[in-house]
Amino acid sequence: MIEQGDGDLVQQTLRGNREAFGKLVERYQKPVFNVALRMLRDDADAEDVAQAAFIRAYQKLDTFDRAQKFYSWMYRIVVNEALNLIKQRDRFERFKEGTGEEVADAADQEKEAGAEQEVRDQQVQEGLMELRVDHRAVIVLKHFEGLSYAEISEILEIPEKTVKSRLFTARTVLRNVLARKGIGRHG
Amino acid sequence: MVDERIVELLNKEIDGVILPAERVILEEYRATNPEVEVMAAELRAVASALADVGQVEAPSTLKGRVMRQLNLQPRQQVPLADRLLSPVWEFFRGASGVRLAYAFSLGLVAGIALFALYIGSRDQQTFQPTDATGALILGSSAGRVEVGPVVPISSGQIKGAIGTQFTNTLTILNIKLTSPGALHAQVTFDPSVLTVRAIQRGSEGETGLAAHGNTVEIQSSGNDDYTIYFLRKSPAPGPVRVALFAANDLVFERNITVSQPVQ
Repeated sequence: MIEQGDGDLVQQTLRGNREAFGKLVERYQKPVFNVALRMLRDDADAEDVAQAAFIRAYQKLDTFDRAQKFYSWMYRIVVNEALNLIKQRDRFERFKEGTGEEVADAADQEKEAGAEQEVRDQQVQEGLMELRVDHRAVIVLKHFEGLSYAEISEILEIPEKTVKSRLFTARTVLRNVLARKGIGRHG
Repeated sequence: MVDERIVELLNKEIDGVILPAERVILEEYRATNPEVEVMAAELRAVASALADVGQVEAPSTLKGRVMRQLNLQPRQQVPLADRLLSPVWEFFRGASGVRLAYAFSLGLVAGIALFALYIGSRDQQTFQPTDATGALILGSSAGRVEVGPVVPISSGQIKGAIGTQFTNTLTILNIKLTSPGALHAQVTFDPSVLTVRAIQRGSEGETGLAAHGNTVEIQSSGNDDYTIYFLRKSPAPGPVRVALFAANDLVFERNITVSQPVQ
């Protein structure tokens, strides 16, 4: 069976076929969820953001430029949704302080992460969370999604030169952060 | 301290985009500066640590959540211009220059004629949370404050409104009251779903009031503005009952079911 192209599915969705949009969700839910997860760390937040990103995409589908790649457009939406949540969370953080829930969650996560790789994954994720959000976004798109400088530039709407400088700076910062956690220190 | 230009070349090497001439420069520098190799190894370790973090599967509930929320949206109105031009676009797509020129001319004429209709139909696509079923439906746009419906309060001379706002984790009720006499407001909720994070009076900041069990009690002088911030523990429906008493008589009662169209 020939797989339908993204453009065809977008077209069908615009004609009122929601199942076509369902196919796009199926196709891109994994990368979209992973971008959200690496930006936010929390599974539940990542699922909320991924959901919000698909809903936004659906609402704005008539503005999608068919000359663009659908996945680039989707990445842009999910990164923006994640950045919005981070800003919003900062704003409301004071109402969540002192509950002890976050501490308990973190302790549970640590307990569950018995395997060495899981511990390391968690340390890398913690390292990512120490980066500035604009640096984190380029690292996520480059290293977890394997995108080129040009694609990241298109998604984040910044010049390629800025992508490179953010990426290189982010790696250097991450190198120091991970070294503190005992990962990758040489010499 | 490694030269900035060399750091850039090291990063390009990691990304596999280093040019042959740049590689020569890097190798020369590397041969005489051992600290470059240390840095290269550390950057490679960072890249490797990131590469080792595997992709995780999306939650099995995600697609269902998206599709359920789409079903709660007003039916998307396909812009008339799109509907009319779509077959034309399909026909001309990828065709020769002459056909493209026809397509352009046709598109221009049709575009001008349909512009007004297009703008009109776009306005119908804006999603607003609705109160169609008596339940407040969360927009669930993570990260933003969604403004929900306003529930009016009207009982004799007692007037006011309960405003609702949501973020992806907070449910916020704003109770505004105007009354000739003192009132006692009682807000009850399901503590397995909601936790009271803060209660604010007007713009004065937190009141120090707290929930006792599943109830928040507020003594109002009659003209007040209270905002209660609830943290949602789960997406399950979280019913909130707002009741107002004047001299122990129940003068207003409203059950508000806060539900999120997920799971």
